[in-house]
Amino acid sequence: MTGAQRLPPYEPTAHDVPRPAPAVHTVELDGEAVLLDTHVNRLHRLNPTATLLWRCLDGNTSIATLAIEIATAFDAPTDVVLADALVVLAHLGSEGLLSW
Amino acid sequence: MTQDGFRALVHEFTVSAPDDPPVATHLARLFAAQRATVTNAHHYTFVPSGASGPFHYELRRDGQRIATASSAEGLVSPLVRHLNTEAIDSWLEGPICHAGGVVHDGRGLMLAADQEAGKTTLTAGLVRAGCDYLSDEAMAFDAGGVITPFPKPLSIDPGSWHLFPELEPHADLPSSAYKDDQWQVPVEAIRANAVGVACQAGWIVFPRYEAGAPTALEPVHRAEALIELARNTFHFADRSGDLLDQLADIVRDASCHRLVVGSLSEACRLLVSLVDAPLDATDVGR
Repeated sequence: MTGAQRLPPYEPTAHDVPRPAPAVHTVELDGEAVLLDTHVNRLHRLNPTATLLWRCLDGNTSIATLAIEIATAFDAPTDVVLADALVVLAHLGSEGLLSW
Repeated sequence: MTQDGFRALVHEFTVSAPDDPPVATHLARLFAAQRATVTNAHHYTFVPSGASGPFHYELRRDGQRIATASSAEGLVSPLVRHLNTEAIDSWLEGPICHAGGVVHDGRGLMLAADQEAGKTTLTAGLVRAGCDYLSDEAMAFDAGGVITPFPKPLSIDPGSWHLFPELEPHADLPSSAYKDDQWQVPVEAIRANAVGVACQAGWIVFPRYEAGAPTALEPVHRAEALIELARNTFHFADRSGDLLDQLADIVRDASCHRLVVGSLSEACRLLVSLVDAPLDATDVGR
């Protein structure tokens, strides 16, 4: 909603344990999350896959473990899920939406 | 003190032009749809300022000057715009969105967009087509998601005058200053008994006028609609978290669409078809 805050890029590793940043407010509609960064009043829309990942960010589970759980649930290759998750989380982190 | 007056959402007011009875008559007709018994009203008066020079009429609010013009009738549009701002700024019950809106079969059709998107034009067209009027400027929701009607005069810009030649105001006033920049049109001039009642939003449409473009209505995902609606919500930044939750509840219960308007008649036809269809058939905003 307002000008983007310039943040350093986030380059997550599989061992990171990210969680939603405290200033982020989430609502979900039809399987898609809308994230509001209340610090800068900026809104973000996640697609259903990113929404699923977002829901799993509990601040206790590493990205590697999340990837295994999601891969198991969806019968998908773990390495592919992990690679995709790192890309999505890099984007979310660089937007200031994560703490880790 | 309880008295007869007008209400713009929760902003209560009276208006008088003691030195210009024809202006007072015009104003009473203009705000007829907002007539109410008021208890805590602000008082607007049109008075000669006594000053020399071109701007020798004043619009005063509770005795304080808020606008000047060269004639009393030249203060009509400034008053309408001032009341819009007051109505919007004083609404604290829930989200208030920059949108026109009408009612069809007890459910609201909301036209949310920024300036110059054609909200008033579409709203007027839909009222002419048989829908009831909520507002051409602001959809005010309470905490339960119910829209309070704000049946202000429709403010029709010059670019749309040719679409509504029958709505040109013809007041018995000394000059045309009351309609030179914008026509202020009471909804009764479009259709009698056309003021809508409080309702929930059944449809949320994001119109955009594009000269010469094919008119087209297409569904949008509710998450996209929520972001668009937040962008068109007054004072969103002041309490964004609470408002986002309330806006999400509104969007969740509505069918959401984007509308490119090249032709008013075609746009109204599409929207009337949308609201005439069974809700299940239009529930594609996802």
